[in-house]
Amino acid sequence: MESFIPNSQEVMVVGLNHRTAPLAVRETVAFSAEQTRDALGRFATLFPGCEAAIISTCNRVELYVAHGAGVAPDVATVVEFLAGYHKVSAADFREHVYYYQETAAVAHLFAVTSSLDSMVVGETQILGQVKHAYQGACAAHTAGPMLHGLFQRALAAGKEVHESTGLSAGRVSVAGVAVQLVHRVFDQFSDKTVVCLGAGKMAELMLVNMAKLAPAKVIVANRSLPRAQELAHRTGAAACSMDQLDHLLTEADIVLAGTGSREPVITAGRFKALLKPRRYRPVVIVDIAVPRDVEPAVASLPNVYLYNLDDLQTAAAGNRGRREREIDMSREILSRHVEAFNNWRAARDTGPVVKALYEHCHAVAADELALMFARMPEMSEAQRRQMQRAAHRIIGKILHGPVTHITKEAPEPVRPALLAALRNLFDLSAADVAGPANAAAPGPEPESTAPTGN
Amino acid sequence: MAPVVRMKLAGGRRIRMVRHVPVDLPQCWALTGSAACFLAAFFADLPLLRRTAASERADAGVPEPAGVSAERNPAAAFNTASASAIPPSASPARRDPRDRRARRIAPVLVLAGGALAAALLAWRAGQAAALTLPLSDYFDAFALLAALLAATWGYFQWTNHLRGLGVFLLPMIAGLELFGLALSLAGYKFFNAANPWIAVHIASVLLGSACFAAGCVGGAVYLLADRQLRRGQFGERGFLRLPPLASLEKFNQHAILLGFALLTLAVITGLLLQMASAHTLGPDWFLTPKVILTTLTWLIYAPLLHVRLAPAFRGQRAAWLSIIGFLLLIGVFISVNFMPAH
Repeated sequence: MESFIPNSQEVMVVGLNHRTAPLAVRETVAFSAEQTRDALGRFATLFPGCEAAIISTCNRVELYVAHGAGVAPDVATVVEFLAGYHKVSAADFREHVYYYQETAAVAHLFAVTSSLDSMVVGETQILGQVKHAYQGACAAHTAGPMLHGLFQRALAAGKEVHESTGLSAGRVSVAGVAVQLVHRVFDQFSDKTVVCLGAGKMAELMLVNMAKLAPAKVIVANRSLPRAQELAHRTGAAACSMDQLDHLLTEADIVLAGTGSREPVITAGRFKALLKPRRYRPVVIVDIAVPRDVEPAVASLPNVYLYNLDDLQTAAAGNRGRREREIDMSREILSRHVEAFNNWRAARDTGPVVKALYEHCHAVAADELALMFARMPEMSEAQRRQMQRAAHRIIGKILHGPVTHITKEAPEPVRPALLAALRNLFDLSAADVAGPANAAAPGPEPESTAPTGN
Repeated sequence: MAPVVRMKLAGGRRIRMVRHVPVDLPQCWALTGSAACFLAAFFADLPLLRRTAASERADAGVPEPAGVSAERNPAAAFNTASASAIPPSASPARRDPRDRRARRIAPVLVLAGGALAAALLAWRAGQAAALTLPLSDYFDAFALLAALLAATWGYFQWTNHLRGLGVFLLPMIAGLELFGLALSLAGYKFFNAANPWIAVHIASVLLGSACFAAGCVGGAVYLLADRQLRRGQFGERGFLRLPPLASLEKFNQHAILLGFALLTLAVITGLLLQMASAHTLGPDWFLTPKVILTTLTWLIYAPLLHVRLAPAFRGQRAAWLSIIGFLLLIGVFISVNFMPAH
């Protein structure tokens, strides 16, 4: 079968998301930016000729693979690669994993990009995250023509969904939910202290929202003090280094944890020891980091209310019901985009074959004409040109029907078989039909416009 | 005709008469009806607390934070809600007509229940010759408690940060009314309110009990709110809109502080009264269940007053103690009624 369709570029996605895996599993396989680059490099050496991209957000870890003629890693291999990279057992990992191939994989990426697959449907952050994933693949040189096309179209589809539907309207932000939760515990904030661990983007967003409660004190703590000072300066808070964490946690009434640490920053043992100096004051800890910054066991301590990203998102997703209509509209837009993408792919697959077919026929004609011209040296230049033109026309007229059928009229699922038949019947070798995976030319920058397929 | 009881003070001077008004069937029905009103109000009001997180936000009218443009800063999308311009009240999902009806039903029912209890009390006081204290037995005492707690419900209802607490007070009121009815029917206990010491004793017991009952409800609601917040299922149907934990804790502290002061007064007057009649009770008067239970109740509430000094009693523990203390207080009522001091 593989030889029958040698040039079919299979797109595949293996991954897990908030629906299939709890936060505890997701955080073990999350990729940081450096890890993404490293993992893509490793993937490229393991499976040369394959294109790959990794989307790793708080809610999902997905590996997109497009493979060419030669090596074709199956799902199990890709799962083992992911599990192996993070040193988790593949068996544990497998039960949380989903995979899609071909059109389903394309549709999945489009749904992800347009936030239909998100926990908070309508969020627009995912658009940026997919873009980052694509840029990461470009930087690691693992994005080939196939993934360039796929991701650029996915981003275009996501953008269209957000712009032309009301999906992101009426959405409740995760930060808004956190503020609501804090209101459920405290009734006044003029005597409260907010401590923000980490100076990342998420931490800043949370902090800006919490600062609106007008707490008595806001302190930003970060591993690198300059970054903390920078954020503190922007938000009118005080900056502090992480060394004084125990002191900060004793002071705090609201803790926002958003560091990039791989290990929990606030362990149950650490916080338990602080309960007494804290005089058992209630504390709300909002952990927006993935992997988590706060050990889950902290939640069972008295007067400690711990929320992680999943808790917040579940609450924020509450208003999904009244956006069913928008979701339907978005699905329609996406199916149109998936169809356009398939057409583009088909054109990409068909183009080289058709070209090779024409070249093949023209080569035969040229050979025959050369033979004839050699036998008939008395033919004038004008006659020869006449003969050549006739041969062109004959080839054109004979091939016009079948080629139009393949490129335009044949239904999408039949096309690969027809192309394979053409290749086999006319013996169009792989060299004639340069596969996109073999064309290792550096891809266009993500900012460039998507290639127009027809 | 109600029997007339003549009382004498220690000096042998005759004081004004207090008549005992017997509890008859219509009065029982009236008190039961009042309890039914409170229970009905509870069931009418409870569904209003059961809202989704989204409708809660809509009700609270919390403005969604407007952030930087998502184009420039993708992560800002985390923060922005493009519909923040639309006022939450515009959402049709939130204005459920059934809600509006229920919102009107509950206050009417509570008013009816409270008025019934108060009317009953007034009528019985009118029947009694003396109006110094319209109390002659448990029936009156618990009708008064019900009326007081119904007023407390009103306070909760009009206090922003304690709304939602009142709902849970309603079954407590109904329960107390039925409990008082049962005590009154099981064994008649005449309160000699004409004796000023006894009057002070009874008044402080009753007002203290009202405080502790409210504290108990506050404690139970605190535990419920705490459990909800720990479970974290905010979008779920069963999620109730309860006051903030800090407000509940503060309310509990205040209720218990007041209750404790009144209980202390009650204990002191009770002791004085006991000691005055010690010669008839014998030397073991302090070993009666009434005295032991009261002391125990007093000791349970004592640490709750010292949360500032003993912060380990904060939160859940304080809530549990306020519930246990109230149960013990109910035990004291029973012991006073069924286990005579001698």
